[in-house]
Order: sequence, then structure tokens, then C-alpha cells
Amino acid sequence: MKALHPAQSPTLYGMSLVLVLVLVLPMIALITQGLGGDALRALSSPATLQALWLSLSTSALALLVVVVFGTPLSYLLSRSKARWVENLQTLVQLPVVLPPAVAGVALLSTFGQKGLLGPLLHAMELRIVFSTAAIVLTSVFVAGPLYVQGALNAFSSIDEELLLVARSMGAKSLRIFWQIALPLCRPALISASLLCAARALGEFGATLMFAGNLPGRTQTMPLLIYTAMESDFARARTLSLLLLLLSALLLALSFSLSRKWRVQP
Amino acid sequence: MPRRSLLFCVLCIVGLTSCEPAPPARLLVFAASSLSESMTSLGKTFEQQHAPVKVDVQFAGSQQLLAQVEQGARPDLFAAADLSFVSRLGKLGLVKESHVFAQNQLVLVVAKTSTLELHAIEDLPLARRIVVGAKEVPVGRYTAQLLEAADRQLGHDFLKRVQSQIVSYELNVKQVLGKVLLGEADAGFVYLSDAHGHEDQLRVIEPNAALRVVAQYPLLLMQPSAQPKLARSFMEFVLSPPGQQHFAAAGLTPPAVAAPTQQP
Repeated sequence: MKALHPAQSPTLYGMSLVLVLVLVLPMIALITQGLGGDALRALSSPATLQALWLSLSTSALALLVVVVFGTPLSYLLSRSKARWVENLQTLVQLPVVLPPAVAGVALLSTFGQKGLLGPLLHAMELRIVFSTAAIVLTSVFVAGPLYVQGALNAFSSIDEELLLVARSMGAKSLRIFWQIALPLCRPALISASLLCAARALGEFGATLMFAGNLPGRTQTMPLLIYTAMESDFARARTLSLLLLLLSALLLALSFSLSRKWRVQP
Repeated sequence: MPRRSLLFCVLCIVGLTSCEPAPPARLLVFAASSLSESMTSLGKTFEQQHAPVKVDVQFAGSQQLLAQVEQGARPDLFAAADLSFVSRLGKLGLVKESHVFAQNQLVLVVAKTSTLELHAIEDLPLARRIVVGAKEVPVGRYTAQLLEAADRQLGHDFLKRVQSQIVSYELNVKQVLGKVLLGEADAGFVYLSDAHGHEDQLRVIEPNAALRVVAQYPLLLMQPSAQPKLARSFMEFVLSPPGQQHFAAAGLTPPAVAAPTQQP
């Protein structure tokens, strides 16, 4: 029998197993129970396809917004050591740990009729609440920080000297960003994007409060699942399984990319 | 059953860490969200009268609570906003006894800040943003019932015109109310008891007699129960005149005939 690696004690194995079970059992249950009954009909119903399309398109749109504006932000944050920058880092990460209910209330307080920007939006005749834009906005708010964090870590790992050399050779700041920083970090940025997309796809609580629940306009997959749970638990389970597989796919892609990136010199 | 024993262990740990040596008897009551004010105050009164008994009331949409019971949750009592739950849970052998203890009426609420000339159900197509309950939950079923009756009475594509202005199908009545109170929706359908206490912010429009939709609230005495006697005295308190006062104070009306609902 092979001797155990120094880190492998049966006690440690046992304790780890507890958490693994808690984390994995619910997913096994979804897989084994979600396929029963009218799984195919639940998956191919117009309401499902509509919600799936809405989820995918709003997540993609949110990701686009996050990448366009989050990449420069992460780059700037990674290149400065100033105190206020560190505080800003904490601040923009906050939505990740915010309870969904708090996020929902916060978004309503910002973009609602009686919210901070209410008078401005009213003057522009813009109604955000109950619109598809509200889903995108919610996703940007709750999932954006995940991308920013990933991108920030990637940019931080770039050797400062590399940038200084480029600068000494006369490259402008924007060109250094485009031609050195971005290409170097591309796999990590894609990995962070996928993580952000997965989070956006799963967004539920704040969306329910801020965007409402209207099939075709604001009823995303998680909201459809919640609505289905009111009347048909089996259908909710099948739809959950679909979303689980999608999330798993995005997560696996994200992890494999970030692993590949790490082994590179 | 391993799942139940695991749950038992968890409950024991929670119980041990949160209670004094002799844990007081606890009643678990599931209640429709439209009952949140009345059942909270009634529960407190019952606790005072039966100290050191604790009454835990869990509020959610009736349909969600029903799903929890069907998935294995075991409250001692269930106060629902839909009479059909009696037979649905009765078929599973979970209902020992049930009584209608209150009635509620579906009303249209309009934000006072709204500048729209909304004064009757027939003006509803004027509203730009209407919020209603989803058809999966009782308040949504009652709303659909009312709108269909109004469509038959008023004609002119009333239902279609209203439906095209609906911006959200909420999953419990408090969410509908919240969206109107926030000014996000022009109008919504809630129970009279939900509008109660918000008269300063809302205009309440009661439908005419032909369109009146009355929701019957059954109280289900559930079995099995760890506290059958206590659960029964809670039920008796709900049906007694002092208990009924809590519902009247919250804008609910007493049942038409205080008789047991049909046995499942």
C-alpha cells in the first residue's frame, strides 16, 4: 500500500467530506430528480425558451457593459498604490457580498420613481423599473465586481518593469494598456468574464424586486423557476437542472482558463 | 428516516443554543402574507395568555407555504388565503380540521401621487403600469377572476387592454402593494386588509357588487402535530370573538357563516 502524503490524514479527509457532501448533495439531487416526469416538455415550452433567451441576452449585455467599463477601471486600480484607491477597491467589491434584498432596495432607491435619480429619469421620460434594462442594470451591479476583481488580480501580476521599459521606449499610456497589459492578461480576463456571466445568469433576488416578473420582458430563468415553484415543483426542478448545467459549464470554462493562465511563465 | 433525524439534530442544536434549560412549547403557524399584521398581533396575545408558549408565525405567499408543506414542512396550523387548499392538503391526510375564520375582498389600489383619473375599475385601461399577482398564487387567481368578470360586463376588449398594461406578475400580495406604494406602479389589485393603514398614500377602489371577489381564509389544523392540544386552543382562539378582533382591526371581515369547511 502506498504511504499517505504528509497532508493526507484520515481525520482531515473525514472533515473535508462533510463540507463536500453539503455542497454537492443538492446538485446530485437536482440531477437525479430533475429529469423525472415531463422534463422534456418543461424544457421545450415557449415560456422556458423565452426566459432562457432573456437570461442569456441580458447576461451577455451586462457582461459587455462590465468588460467595456470594468477593464479600464481594474487596470487603473491595479496600477496605483494610493490609499484612496484601496478604499475604492473595497467599495466596488461591496455588491458581491451584499444580500440580494439589500441590492434590490438599493437599486429601487437609486432608479425608482422616488429614488435618488427619480426626478432626473422622470425628466428624461425614462422608466427603468419593470424594464429589461433593469435586469441588465441589476446584473452589472451584482456581477460586475466579480469581473473587476479577476481583472484587477491579473493586471496586478504584470511586472511593473515591463511597463516602465515600454514607457522608456516612448510608448504612450493607452498604447501600453492595449498592446502590453491587455494581451498579457487576456486568458485571465476571459476567465473573469465567464465568472461574471455565470453570476449574472443566476441573479434572482434583486431582479425580482427591481425589475418585476413579466414573461418576455423581465421574467428570467431564475424568476421563472421561482414562479413555477408556486404551482409545479417538478417543473421548477427541471428548469433548475438546466440552469445548474449552464452555470457549471461557465464555471468549468472559467476555471480551466485561469489554470492555463497560471502555469504560463 | 435519516433526513428527518438529521433535521432533528439541527433543530436540537438550534434549540440548545437559543433556549433556557426547559424549552417552552412552540407552535409553528404558517400564514398567508395578507395576514401579516393580524396574525402577528394575535400570536403575541396568545403567547401572553399561554406563557411560556412560543408562537412562531411564518409569513409567505399561500402558494409558497403550500409547496413547503407538500415538500415535507409540518406546521401545526396553516392560515391560507385560498379555500381550495383544504381539499388539496386533505387528500394528503394532513388536515385534521378546518374552519373559515375570515374573509377579505379584492380591491384596486391607486397611488395618491398618480395624476391619472382612475376612479373605478372601468378606468383601469388608463393606467400605464399595472401590477397584479401571478396566476400561480391566490391573489392572482382572484384578480384574474375579477378582470374576466369585468371583461364580460364592460366589453370593448377590457381584459386585453388591461393585460397590455400589466408590467409585473408578483408572487405575493405584499409585493403588489409595495410596488404601488413606491409609485412604481399606477395601480394594483390587493386585499382590502393590505390597503388598511395606507389610506394616506393610496386610493382604495372597491369593485361594484357584480364584480366583488371575496377571498375565504381557512385555518387548517394540521396533523401530525407535536402540540395537538395547544394547536387546537390556538384555533379556538382564532375563532373566538377576542381572536376575531385582531382580524377586524386589520381590515378583514368575519366569515359569512362560522361553520366548519367541508371535510376532505
